[in-house]
Amino acid sequence: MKQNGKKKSKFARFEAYLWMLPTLFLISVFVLFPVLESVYMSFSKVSKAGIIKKFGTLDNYRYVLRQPVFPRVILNTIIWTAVIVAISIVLSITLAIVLNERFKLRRITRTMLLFPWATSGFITACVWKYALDYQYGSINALLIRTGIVRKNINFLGHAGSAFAWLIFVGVFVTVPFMTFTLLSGLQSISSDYYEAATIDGATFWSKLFKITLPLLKPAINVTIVLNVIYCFNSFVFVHTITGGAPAHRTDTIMTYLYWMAFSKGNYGAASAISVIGFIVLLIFSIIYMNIQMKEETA
Amino acid sequence: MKKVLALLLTLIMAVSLAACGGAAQSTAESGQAEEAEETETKEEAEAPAEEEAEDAAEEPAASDEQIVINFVAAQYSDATEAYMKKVCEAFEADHPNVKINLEVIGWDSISTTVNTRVANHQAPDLYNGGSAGEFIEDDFLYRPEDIISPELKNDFYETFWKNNIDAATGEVYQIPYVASVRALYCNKKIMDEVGVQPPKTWDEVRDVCKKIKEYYNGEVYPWGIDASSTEGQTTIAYYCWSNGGGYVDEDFNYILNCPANVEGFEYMKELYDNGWTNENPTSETRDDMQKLVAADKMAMLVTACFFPALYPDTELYISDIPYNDKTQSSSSTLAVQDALIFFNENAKATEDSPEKLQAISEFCDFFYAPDNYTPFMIQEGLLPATNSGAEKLAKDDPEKAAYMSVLEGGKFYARSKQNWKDCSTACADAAQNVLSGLQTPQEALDEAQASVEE
Repeated sequence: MKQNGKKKSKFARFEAYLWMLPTLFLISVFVLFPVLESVYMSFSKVSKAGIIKKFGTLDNYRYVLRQPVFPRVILNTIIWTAVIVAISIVLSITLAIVLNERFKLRRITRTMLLFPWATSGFITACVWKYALDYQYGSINALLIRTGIVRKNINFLGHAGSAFAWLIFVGVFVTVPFMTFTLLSGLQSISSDYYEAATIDGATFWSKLFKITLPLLKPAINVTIVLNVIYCFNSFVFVHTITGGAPAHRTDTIMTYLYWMAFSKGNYGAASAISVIGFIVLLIFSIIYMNIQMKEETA
Repeated sequence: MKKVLALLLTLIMAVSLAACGGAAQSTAESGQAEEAEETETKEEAEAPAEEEAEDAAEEPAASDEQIVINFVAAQYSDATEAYMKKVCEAFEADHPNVKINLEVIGWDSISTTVNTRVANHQAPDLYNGGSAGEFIEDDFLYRPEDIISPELKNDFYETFWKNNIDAATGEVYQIPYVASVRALYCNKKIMDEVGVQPPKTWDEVRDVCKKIKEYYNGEVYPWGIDASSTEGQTTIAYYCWSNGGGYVDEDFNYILNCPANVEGFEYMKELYDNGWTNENPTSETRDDMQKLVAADKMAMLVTACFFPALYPDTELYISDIPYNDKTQSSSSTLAVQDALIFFNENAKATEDSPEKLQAISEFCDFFYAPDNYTPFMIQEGLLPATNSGAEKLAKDDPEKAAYMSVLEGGKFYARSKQNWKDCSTACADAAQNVLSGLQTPQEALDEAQASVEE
């Protein structure tokens, strides 16, 4: 019996590693190797066919930074990420609080909210592309039939309006995931706090700002970091709906690097763009986590 | 016990995944062992021929072994795959020791797919869908003259063959596959209702556009512009060639910001600013606008010669691309050829036996034989790139054969430049910048010129 216990403890020591092996293997093959390959390629001279000719050059970075449109692409990516996350977080907190209350059809409402997140990103992007189409779009058809407008609206015709619609679609698909993450955070807050506050005569707003939001902060932090990364790296919506047009004015880093690699055939520069994007994200994550940690220790 | 079992299962799963990943590379090495095992089980004996073909593709073919030719072809229509399959099967029937692995891929992903394979040294033997310029630098291509028969080489239109001469090396690395020409297509119903004829010159375009806009009170687009990322490079061909400009000069130096091009872009912008064109020229594609012409919502569109075949019920006037009669005496037509390239051993990491190269040569002769080639062109609404194909077209489809004379005098993209992709994307960007009002034609074309000279 004792021996069996010893065996168990030995096994338990490396059991966790064994369980992690498949995941580590998959991450190494499908994430780590491509990332390292990409970094290597970004510092190499790469032929148009994607063959690495010579390692040890900064030419790809110089080339990317020389592109007149690149600062615009970086700015677009930052605006796209910041606005989607900011709008989504406000909407999601509101929705999470509502969904945390008991009301009729709550289960159906929760399920329906999951649809945009559960649907494939490409399908969602296609649906919105055709909904917003100038000639045959369903939104224009609806507006005309209801007499709200007389002439079709050119939603995607100008860089500004197209980008605004891209952000709208981004919010549409981000809110469900955020809401459910925050809802799980809300459910972990003990009802005792609210009961005590109610006895003390606290209003809805004081309960929100003094109890809910402070206790929800860890969940909000995780959600923000995860969604910044998700939005920053999202590709399918911009690529499908505008393709970066006109003239890269709606491009983000991801769509721009795709264009650089597959339309222009410059794989080295595309790798450099991906590394630059990675560095921007890393800097954000470090700064954000540092601020949060300081606040927590203060 | 259950945990250990679950762990084992998970490990097996992971290892199986690893085995799947390595299958492609290990096939050649394990080929002989597999052959020995083939006799042992019935299942293996009944394995699909394709698997065997894949195995054979990895090995150098010996004279008595099956020869496998991997062919990646572009999809021109829904009927492309069926037709090409038929041709391949007919060839295989004549050559029992040859197997053609045909893969037909849509235009939106063919280049990405093949480029990824090439980068991993898994290139096909034959590829129609890209440009040789991307692969010359790496020495990944055979010179077609070393493979195809002299008869076939001599059968190609000379202008087409010459258009394939690489500007940097002076060699030919691709052969013409299919051709098309661009022309101005006018919706007959709209033109007749308004009482106008297809315009020949820029001034006539302005006049006709104005009349159509007034007649339909803006409900019909008089003119279509496609400056999207896929066709944006054509704006130089449509609006600048007709003004004496172009992509390159006689010495194959880029001249994107020459005065004639700037004036051509100013003319294009004028059409847009006057409300004579589609609303979203930077994102609406040729396909979108062809639908508008067929739906009587657009009057005039410069597009490819396969347009009438796609919309046979739409009555059309066909005319030359309008030119600026103040600087030019006639129109210029854009002729487009898709090419066939032959990847060599460097791109495949396997050796090609003389028998295999001979089989590829014979397959080319078979494919370009008028009885196989011309019906394919007719089906796809394209034009043949061979003299024998054109002769058959004249007999089988005289109406379409009229395009052949236009094709002979057509101008081509500057695909002989190895950085044509840079030029193509730079032209599309320039057109989008101009039409969006983000840059003047001079600024946009200066930027395009700078980008191709980098």
